Amino acid sequence: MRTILWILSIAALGGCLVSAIMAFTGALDDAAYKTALLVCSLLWFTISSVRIYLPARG
Amino acid sequence: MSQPELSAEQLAARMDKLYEFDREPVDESRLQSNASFAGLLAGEHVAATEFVIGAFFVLHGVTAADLFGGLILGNVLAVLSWAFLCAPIAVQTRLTLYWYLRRIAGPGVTMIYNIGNAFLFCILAGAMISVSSTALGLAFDIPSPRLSDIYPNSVAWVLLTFAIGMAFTLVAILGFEKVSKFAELCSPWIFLVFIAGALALLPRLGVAPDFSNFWEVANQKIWTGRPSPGQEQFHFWHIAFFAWFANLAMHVGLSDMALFRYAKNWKTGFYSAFGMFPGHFLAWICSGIMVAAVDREMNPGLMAFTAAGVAGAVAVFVAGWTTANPTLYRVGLALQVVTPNWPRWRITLIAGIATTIVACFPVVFLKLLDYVALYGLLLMPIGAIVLAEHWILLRLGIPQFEAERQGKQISWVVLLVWIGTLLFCFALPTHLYFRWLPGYFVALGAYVLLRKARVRLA
Repeated sequence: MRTILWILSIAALGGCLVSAIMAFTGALDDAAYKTALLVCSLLWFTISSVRIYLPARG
Repeated sequence: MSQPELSAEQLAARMDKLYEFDREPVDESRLQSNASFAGLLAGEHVAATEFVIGAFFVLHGVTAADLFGGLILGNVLAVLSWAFLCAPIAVQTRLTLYWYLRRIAGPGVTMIYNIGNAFLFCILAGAMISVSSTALGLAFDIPSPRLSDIYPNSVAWVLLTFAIGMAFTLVAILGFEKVSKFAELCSPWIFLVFIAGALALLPRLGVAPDFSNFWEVANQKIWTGRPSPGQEQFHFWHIAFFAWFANLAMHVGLSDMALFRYAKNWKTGFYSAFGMFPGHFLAWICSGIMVAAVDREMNPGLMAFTAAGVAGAVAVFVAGWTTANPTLYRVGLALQVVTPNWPRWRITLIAGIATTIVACFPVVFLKLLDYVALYGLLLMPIGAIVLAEHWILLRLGIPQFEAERQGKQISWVVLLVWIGTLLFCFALPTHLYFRWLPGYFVALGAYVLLRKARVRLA
């Protein structure tokens, strides 16, 4: 479970970077880039929080 | 009812009890891999201060070539300081600076060092709270202080900063461990917001999608070589020295012995590059790009909001919070020793209130660069003394650990060298950034000479 959550959190971080690259190349306008960054950040926060508060397997 | 006064011995005993858990040298079985050092160090050097430092380099009118060259040289010197000064002593002793210094200088000096460090940490936490206020202030339309401000610029700013400071203090009292774990986790995201924000702002400054004109734009619109009004002009050596001493207390000052005592060998010191180059190179460059895109307005919250929207403002707030929190916790822990049997929550609360009051004065983050220089300078002589004790004394036939052997509370030689070095540094007619280096050699030489003289007199 932790591994899956770790992969998902990395994907969310990747989304943050991709949105910025797309804004840099002009593929996304400013508003769309900021929305995408916010959504990916929220996803990252949620997944990471679940991951660190998930009880360790005994 | 008044509390009975504590003697120096009692205070020292309480301080020892507080650090009891790491009194023994680290056992072989607890040594960490180089990969875990890389991860830990990478996360440690991306903090709220990075939003301010890189931006200030732009305001100080450094040129692009001086900035890039200075940062490369300074960060390489910082990595070498960790690798050749800090890590070898840590690996050989497997002790924290606290316990090693106690053997050299006596528990009294260790206590002075810890309490001094706590006060310096308070100011640093205050700066973090101010930085967070600039982010939250955007939501409430509260204007951030201007570059020349020393005192708070409005009642609203004071109320906001106070509320944030108190919230941070409360969290420091309630749940340090979870916050510290969360702080470690946040670092890659905060770092990514730096990169994303700068990247997204580059087209606004005129950088082409193929980066072909980056250097031209960097020189003409970002690191222009022209300082903002009231700011001193910085050159290559200012940047190189700043990047070198930004963590002076940790490498040359040896406080990172606490970390590197877990390393398998001294070469792990080179892994500090994983912290330096993302945090003190890339992040500083990114915050420079951000401030240039907001017409050089020194407002970390506004910079990040312009660059990355709500996520950017949240990143500034979180960066301030996750840096201020463990700092407040450590301050509480260090000051607990000199308070008359107060519980940790009470001393953390008082330290938090004091820190919050400091944070209300914008000068603490608007003069952050000078403060960072001062912080390293004040603790640097201890690093020189420990280095001399560890490597030089035996080679000259001088017995080590005088304070421990003679059961001294305070080694007056150490105290004299510490104070004398600082007086020498403050009297030097040179820029603040360059004073620590001659001071380091003065401390080293003075300590060896005084110890040799004592041996001869005995």
